[in-house]
Amino acid sequence: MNKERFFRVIGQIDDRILARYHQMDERLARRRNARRAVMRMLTAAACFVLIFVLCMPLVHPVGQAALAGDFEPLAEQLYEIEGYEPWREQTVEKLEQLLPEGITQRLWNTPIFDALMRPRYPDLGGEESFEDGEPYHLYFLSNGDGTCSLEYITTDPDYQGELVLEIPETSPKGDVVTAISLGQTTRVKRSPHADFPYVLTASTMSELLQAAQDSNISNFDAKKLTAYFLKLSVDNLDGRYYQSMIDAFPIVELGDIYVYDGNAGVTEIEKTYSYLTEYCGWNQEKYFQSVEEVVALAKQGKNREQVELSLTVLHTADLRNTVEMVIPSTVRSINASMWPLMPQLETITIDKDNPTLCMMDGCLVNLETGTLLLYLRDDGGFPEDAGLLTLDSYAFALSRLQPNVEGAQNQVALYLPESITEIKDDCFAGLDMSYEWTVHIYLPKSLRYFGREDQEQHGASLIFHYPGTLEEWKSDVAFGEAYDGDYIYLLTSDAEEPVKFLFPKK
Amino acid sequence: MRVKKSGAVLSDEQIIDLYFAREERAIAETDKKYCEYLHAVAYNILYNEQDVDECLQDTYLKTWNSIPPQRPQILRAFLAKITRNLSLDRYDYLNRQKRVSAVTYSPLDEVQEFLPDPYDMDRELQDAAVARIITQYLDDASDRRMYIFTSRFFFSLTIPQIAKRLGCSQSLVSKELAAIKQELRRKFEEEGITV
Repeated sequence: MNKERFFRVIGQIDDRILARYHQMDERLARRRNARRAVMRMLTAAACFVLIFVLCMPLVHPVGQAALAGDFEPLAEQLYEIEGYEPWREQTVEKLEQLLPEGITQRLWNTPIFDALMRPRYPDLGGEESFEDGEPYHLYFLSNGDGTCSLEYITTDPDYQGELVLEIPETSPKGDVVTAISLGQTTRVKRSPHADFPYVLTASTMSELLQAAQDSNISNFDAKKLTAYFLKLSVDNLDGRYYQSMIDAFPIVELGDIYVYDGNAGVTEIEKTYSYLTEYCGWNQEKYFQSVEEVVALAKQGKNREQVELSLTVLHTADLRNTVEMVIPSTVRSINASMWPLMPQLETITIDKDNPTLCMMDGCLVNLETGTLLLYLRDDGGFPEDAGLLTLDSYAFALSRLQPNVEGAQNQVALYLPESITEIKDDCFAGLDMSYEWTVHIYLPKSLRYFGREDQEQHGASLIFHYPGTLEEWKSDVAFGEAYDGDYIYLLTSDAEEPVKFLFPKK
Repeated sequence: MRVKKSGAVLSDEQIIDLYFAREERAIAETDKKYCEYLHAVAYNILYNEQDVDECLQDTYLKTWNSIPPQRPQILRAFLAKITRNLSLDRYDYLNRQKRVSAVTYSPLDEVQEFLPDPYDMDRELQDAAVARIITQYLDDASDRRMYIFTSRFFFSLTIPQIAKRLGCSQSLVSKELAAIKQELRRKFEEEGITV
């Protein structure tokens, strides 16, 4: 027990010792607290740095703007890059330099192409172009004879309401609107300038080669070609055409130029984006670095004696909310491929003074050509006494056909008028129906041309019934070239030797 | 679970005055000011909350009975000594009842290393001499050694606890303790207390 006793004796140490102990204890506690405070500060600083790094995308001014959908600051910096294009490697590298990784990754998940391009080209749907509150802009292309066509449309991306598309009788420049050429593709095949031909024939090419005193197209460059068609000397080419061109058409990129030469086959002239843009002033914005020589590449292919110029525009139109279309009296033709762009279109209003187009019993008809342009009915019937001769492409793209065969579910019967002689390509494309339905289309004996159909564009299964014999079909009806000799005949049982056929599955 | 007392605390003098005035609030004020401190002193010996609480109650009772007539110069030290002695009493009692906590009371074993031997000739004389030698040694010792010794053998802190408070390594504390024991043994020999 000695140790216990000794331990008690330790308890008898003088109070001064304990007082000194407590003083030191308090001193140590203060030091510990100070150290702890410093550690807390350091930890807080480290956390702040960590949070700052992690949240960099949110505080980065450019990143913040980009996330908010305001790409202008970002675009401004990107425009400094020579040869800037959103999809080009150096642009991507620059973008990654400008922004932290997180924000860059997020940007790649956005429609960055449109986003970056819009501020640069407000006419293509940038916010500035819709300041007046209109949900869309129309662009017209003059035909040079006082008439024009509605060539392109841009829609306000922020507009969510129903769209009523009103086509005016005249363009802002005073040309009479005679055609609606809205297409569903981003490629619009038009000349960029009124003096520049849309199609070059082989003879024109020959003239051009003679004028240039050069028999080898490989030696041709953009400058020579442009100067020839614009009737200017090479030295006089400058940027003055830019404005007139851009006024007429919102060109963003000049697409490829294909030269179909009867002798050499298809010739593609590459790097043509510099072809006109250089001489139309785009280079002043450092859009392109230099004029590229037009390189001719001879390729074997079909012989088509023409040169086709194609221009690419940004497709910024969203017409899915279009419920009504108002067509003036001046319009004579409509590009059928625009119908699939407007799946909610219910009403077409045509000026009563329009002598060519009219709505008859739910069908848009061209009276002059006897063409059914658009079928908006749901009963399978056709307007009487319309004298229909032709079913246009995409004519049934917006039809609301319902099963109408008694005793058979999911069966639709469509009896085409006996007067029909021509069914254009892709006439039944875009039939918005259930895949479980089968549509029986009864062709008239009068039919003389049956366009190609792309089976993949059909929602429902289509079975065509021809009332004649196989021999009659072969002798009387010209078939669309795409399926020539490639379709499948199936004999039906309700006629002596009728033809029932399915289109081949791809 | 111990609840931290809140509210303003009185100074030691004011508390002592309350004792002298025989106001029972003196105990409450003492508890408010020194409860955690005394709890640590007792807990480092007993390692049992119930025993510690009883020990603290006994501390307050003994303080009530001791003041007056005593007027402690340093109330904290005065209370600590009472708590420590009462805790050791209780430890002895529990030890006899074989109810000592499973936690080893290690400082008790360590004193064996510099315990004067024989240590039972003249109890009171020897106790007084040992206390004087230790006090004198601690008076002369550096702050760190004084702190380490007092922490270990008065307040029964563990070596890791001492190291943490000093902000040094445990091995350094152990080395210092070894040196302290060696010096104390030499002091006892010099004073004629046989080891």
